[in-house]
Amino acid sequence: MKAHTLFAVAPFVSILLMVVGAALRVVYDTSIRVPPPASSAAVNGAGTNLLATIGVLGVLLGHLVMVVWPDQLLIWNRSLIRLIVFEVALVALGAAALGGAVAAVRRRVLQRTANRASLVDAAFLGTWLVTLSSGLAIAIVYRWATVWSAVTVTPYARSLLSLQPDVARLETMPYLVRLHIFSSFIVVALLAFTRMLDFLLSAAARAIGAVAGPLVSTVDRQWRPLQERALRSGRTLIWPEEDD
Amino acid sequence: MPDHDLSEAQVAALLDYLHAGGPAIDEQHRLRLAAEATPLDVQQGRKLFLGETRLTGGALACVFCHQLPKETLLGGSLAPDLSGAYTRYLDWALDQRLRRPCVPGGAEQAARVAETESLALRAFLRSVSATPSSR
Repeated sequence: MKAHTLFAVAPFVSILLMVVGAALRVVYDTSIRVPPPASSAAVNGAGTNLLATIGVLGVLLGHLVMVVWPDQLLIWNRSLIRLIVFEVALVALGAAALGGAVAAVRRRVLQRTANRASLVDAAFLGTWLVTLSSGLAIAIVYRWATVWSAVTVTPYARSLLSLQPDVARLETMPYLVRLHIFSSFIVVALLAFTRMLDFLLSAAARAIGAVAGPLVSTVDRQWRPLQERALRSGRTLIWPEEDD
Repeated sequence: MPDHDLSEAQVAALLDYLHAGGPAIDEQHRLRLAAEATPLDVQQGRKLFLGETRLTGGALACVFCHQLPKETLLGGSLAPDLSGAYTRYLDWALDQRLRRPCVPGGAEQAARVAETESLALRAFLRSVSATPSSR
């Protein structure tokens, strides 16, 4: 029952919270904005941020590969050298992401701000720290996680995606693995209520603008003559005397 | 008057047993013990354990989760060290354990290892066991 609540109910609740929270913030919260120009302190920490961003994206990509292409990953991991390369790369990326999280916590502690938004941000950062630390600890303590996860955690993740959660495989997993998975659900649930959402939404808006902008202007160019012709025809129908 | 004390039901069961193959089939189904394995079986078991030869059922090689310090320092550390597995479980229990999926759950019903693979793995684990048993 406990495992069912933690690993079969919690993931869906966290995703629901994220989607509903993000939608509400987009509709009602005016605080969502494009981040202001970087301050000198932010510029100084840009290198750390870039490294941490690469770390986070790399770790997420690694997890995506584990869930979406487990068979291909197992084939890749049949060679010991390739297995070591993949594991070491993920550990390095995880360490970079953890470094970024620690730097963010340090900045937050030094700032000593305590409004409502920053409390949620602090909770998010704390949970994110737990997720990254437990992931790194798993990679170090339980060797070859990219292989054994293919028959343990990946089937569980896929069962979630098919909306038929099967938690039996997780019940025999070590505490660290369960902590890593559960804390990631909390991270997802808190995401919509943090300033991180602002950055994600503005990045998404920029990406959509970059892709859709040229498309919209092309459609607009094609549409305008048609629109003008339709207007002229309408005027002629309504005020035929004006043509004379 | 029959010259035996068997009931009709027992006679029928005996006839069914003989009809199904009798002792010859029993011999075919008898679990081969690791002590009867050849050096070739042990070598095959080593390859299966280390993943140099793939298990026919497609299951992961043992080395990714289990350690076996006498053989490799690169064994996984998720599951227990199998150095003493043979002396602890011996043939029958180890065979049963090898055939079941390592991780509960899922829909896999097929045996994880084939009969010959079970013998090879048991023979290999017996060979690396701290105190090999003759049983």
